[in-house]
Amino acid sequence: MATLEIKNLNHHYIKGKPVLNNIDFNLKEGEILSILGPSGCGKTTLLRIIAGLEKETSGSIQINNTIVSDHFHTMPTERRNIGLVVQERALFPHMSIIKNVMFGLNFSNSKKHQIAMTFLKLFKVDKYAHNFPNEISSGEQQRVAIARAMAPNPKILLMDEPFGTLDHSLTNQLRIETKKILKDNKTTAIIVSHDFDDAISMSDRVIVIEDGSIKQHGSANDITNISREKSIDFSSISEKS
Amino acid sequence: MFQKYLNAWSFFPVVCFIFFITPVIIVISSLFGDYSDNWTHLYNYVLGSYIRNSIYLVSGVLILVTIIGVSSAWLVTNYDFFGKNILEWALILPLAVPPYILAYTFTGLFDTYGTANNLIREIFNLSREFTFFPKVRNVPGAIIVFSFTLYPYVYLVSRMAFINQSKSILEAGRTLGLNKIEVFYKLAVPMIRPAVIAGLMLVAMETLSDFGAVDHFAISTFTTGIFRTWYGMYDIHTAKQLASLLLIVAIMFIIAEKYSRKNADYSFAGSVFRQLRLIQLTGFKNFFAFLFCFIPIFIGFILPILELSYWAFNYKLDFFNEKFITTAWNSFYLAIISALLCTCLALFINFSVRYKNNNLLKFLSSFLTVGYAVPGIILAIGVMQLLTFLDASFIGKNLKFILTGSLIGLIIAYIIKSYALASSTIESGYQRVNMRLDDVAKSLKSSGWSLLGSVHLPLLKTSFLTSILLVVSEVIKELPATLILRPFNFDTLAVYTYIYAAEERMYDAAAPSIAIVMIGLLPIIVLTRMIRRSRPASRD
Repeated sequence: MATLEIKNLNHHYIKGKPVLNNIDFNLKEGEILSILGPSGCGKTTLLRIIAGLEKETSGSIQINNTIVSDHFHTMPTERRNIGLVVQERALFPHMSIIKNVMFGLNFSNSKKHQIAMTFLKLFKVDKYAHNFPNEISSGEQQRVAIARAMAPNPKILLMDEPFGTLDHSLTNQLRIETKKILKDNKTTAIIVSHDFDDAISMSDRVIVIEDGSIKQHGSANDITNISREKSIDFSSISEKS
Repeated sequence: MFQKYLNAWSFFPVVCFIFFITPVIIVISSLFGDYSDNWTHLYNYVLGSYIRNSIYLVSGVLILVTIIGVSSAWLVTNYDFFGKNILEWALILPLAVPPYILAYTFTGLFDTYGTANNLIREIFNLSREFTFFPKVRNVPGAIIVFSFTLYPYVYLVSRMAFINQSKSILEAGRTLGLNKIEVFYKLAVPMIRPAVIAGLMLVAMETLSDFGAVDHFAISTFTTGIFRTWYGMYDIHTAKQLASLLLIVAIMFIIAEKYSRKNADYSFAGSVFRQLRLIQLTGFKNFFAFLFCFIPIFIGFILPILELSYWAFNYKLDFFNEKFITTAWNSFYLAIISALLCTCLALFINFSVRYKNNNLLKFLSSFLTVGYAVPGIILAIGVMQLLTFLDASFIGKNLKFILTGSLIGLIIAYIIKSYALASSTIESGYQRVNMRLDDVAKSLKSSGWSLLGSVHLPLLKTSFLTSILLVVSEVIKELPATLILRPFNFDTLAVYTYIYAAEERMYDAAAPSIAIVMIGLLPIIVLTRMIRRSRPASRD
């Protein structure tokens, strides 16, 4: 059973200049999908449409067999039960780390605290629970941002260039740790990235988008093989962006 | 299609828009009614002088504030000289002094038997008939009064524009053969022209809408004409027709200001920003720069404060009486209520614009700020007519007048007039709140009130408080709207000052004037702290 189903999704800001063109794909429970493509190809727009932060021009989106957006209605972001991690991390600067993670939870205070601490421990940032975001490093901030998004147990976790601003060694370490946690928790996730390594190492499946259309779609291994056979230069994709 | 407008976040700004626009429409609609004999009289005999004086006044003020505002901003942004660090923020102090208070102190100082002329006679042992300083109760006198109280509008925008100006462009000018003065007027000033024009339009609107100073100097302008037609001829219809003409001019200034703001940053396109390096001035240049920046502060702030304190403490020691306390309390609670309502309204509407992100709300929100440019006297006439209509139509059938003559009208007028200040403060606060925070908060099931209360409000705390201070200061100073809309036997500090000054009881007017200036200083202190933080320059 598909957790996410996207059918014939099209989007444009200016008529005649499509940003997304006939996007069709689905995602199974516990699966991790990467959307790969150069800057401006429409991958972030696609993520924002799935999150309900933007309305598609046409097409439909189903989450857990419920239509959350089509021509007739749009379910607001806060009711879609999704988690969101953005490149800028967007931690609430006026709240401590623990309060940031507790923000999306709807339980008694002690229960919220308990869940938040569990996730902070999982991401090895529990010692900073009472610090404020500006007091920890960018790598630690990113861990908190992912912990915060996962804590409410969302149906799908959406991550937009999650490691985009981190240095190379930190990125490798975070990729491994995050993938393990996602898999252990059987979290369904979509990762948007322009980085080929991000996409291949983190995900089960990869979609390559160029000029708003899906150009390739397959398992991470398939995409790696195709790129070898056809000599697709993914490094140029990274460099372009 | 209309579904997205059918919720509180979209509906409320629309209701506000209707409420804000109605008083203006009421005034403008008078142009399409009958024209009475009073209008014919005004048209034949005095309208020409209203227009002439207004043009002289606005032109003179604009020239003088450009010279003072732009030059002082250039000096403090590019040079290091004696007292620069203090002068840099002190140059905005005259903002705390409303033009009518400077006008009262000017007449007290420079009239034939004013303090300054008396002092000259005493020092040089001259006869009582000798007058050293020229008369100030005329158009040139008013130009000086308005210029030295309003130049900070131009100073603030020019300074910010100079700070953001690319030093590389100016250095390129030097390499192409321009000297320092040519770099200033051939490159630096033309590049900040749109920002300066936006500041000048604000000055023009403030000058045109002033009542207190021109009334004290007995200069016939539109505002004094409107007041006399209403209270002298008892002809509100003709007063509205006069007000409509003034409003048309104000609308032209609003359009020019909005247009200039749109182009305000064109000068930075394509240029590489490099930090400013201050040039150390020495000798005569050092003294001249100090003097140039000190004179506007002296005339616009120090002189009136000295004169008012002299009056209050040497002649009128019993100023701290029951009446003063009552009046100050009236001003204070009225200002606080208006400021709180206005700031909450601005927060709510700016949140709606950000949350709903639709073009209609954006347009309505920007339109709501035009109240700032509508002269208080016009606003008062419109609000008064609106309340009379509401009383007659819905409320007052049995109970007579409830809204008319109550504080409600006054608070509505204050809110419409001050909304632009509150909105721009909240808007600039919002510019520092990353939109991604909203996206993430929504994904964490926080929306509407919860998003506003738990994410936005804590992050906008400083902007919220700054807005309250700015509106309090604006409301305390507001004179014409208060004069017209205040309930019977209800005085504020501004009205108290006006009444005593009109009776030439300057010593009695001193204490409330000082109180107005002191309250006006509160937001200035906040602004100066921001100014100190905004300077990226380093010394050579």
